[in-house]
Amino acid sequence: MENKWKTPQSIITILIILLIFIYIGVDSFSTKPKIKKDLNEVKVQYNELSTFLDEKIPEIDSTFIEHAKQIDEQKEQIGELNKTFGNLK
Amino acid sequence: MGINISLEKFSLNKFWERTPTVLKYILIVAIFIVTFYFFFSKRIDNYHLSEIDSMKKGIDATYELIDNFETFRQEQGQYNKEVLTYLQNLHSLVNELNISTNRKLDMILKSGNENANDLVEKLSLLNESFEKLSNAYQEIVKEEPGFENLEIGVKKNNK
Repeated sequence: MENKWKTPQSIITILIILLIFIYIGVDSFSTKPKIKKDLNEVKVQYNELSTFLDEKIPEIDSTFIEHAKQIDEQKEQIGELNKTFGNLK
Repeated sequence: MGINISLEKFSLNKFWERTPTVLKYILIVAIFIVTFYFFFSKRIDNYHLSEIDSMKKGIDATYELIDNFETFRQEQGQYNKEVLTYLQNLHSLVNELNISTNRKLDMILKSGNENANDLVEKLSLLNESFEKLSNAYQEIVKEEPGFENLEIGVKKNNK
């Protein structure tokens, strides 16, 4: 009786199956480490950015406060100027 | 043992018949797995990669934004200071003009009808000064963002 496992058909089928799994394995093992590496890189960059923003956000806040003060002073000056112009009438 | 593949009349049915049943199932499973891999896993991996890429771009954009804010902070601060100085100078000028006007009015009151033409001419010049001042001031108000609603009332001295 013919052993079906040793026929060319079986060998070709086994080769096709092996190729499919090898391809999936190789592709998967090349993509996953890349994702992991990129993810770690982004984590590091994100932490650096977080530290940088912790320093910068108070500076930005104080800048806005300073600008608001300057605009208030301008308003005050314009008010006084208005008053002076009013006195000229 | 020699492998003999007959290529004369290839029949898929014969090929399939002579393949062991277990292998047939394994091949079908492998085809399902590879299909799943291409439709889901590969797509998810690509999505992850593009997501990581967009995160990197976002981080770079944040740094750029902070750099731009630094420039904005310096320019806006400088501009605000300049406007303040300008307004203060304008205010001083108006005050000086006010004082000199009062002095001239006093002179007119004290002089009676003497040199009336001369005084009228001086008053005309004074009116022109006020007009120029008013125009200059209105231009500043127009140029300043947020100052549009402020109305300045200037009444010229009539001849």
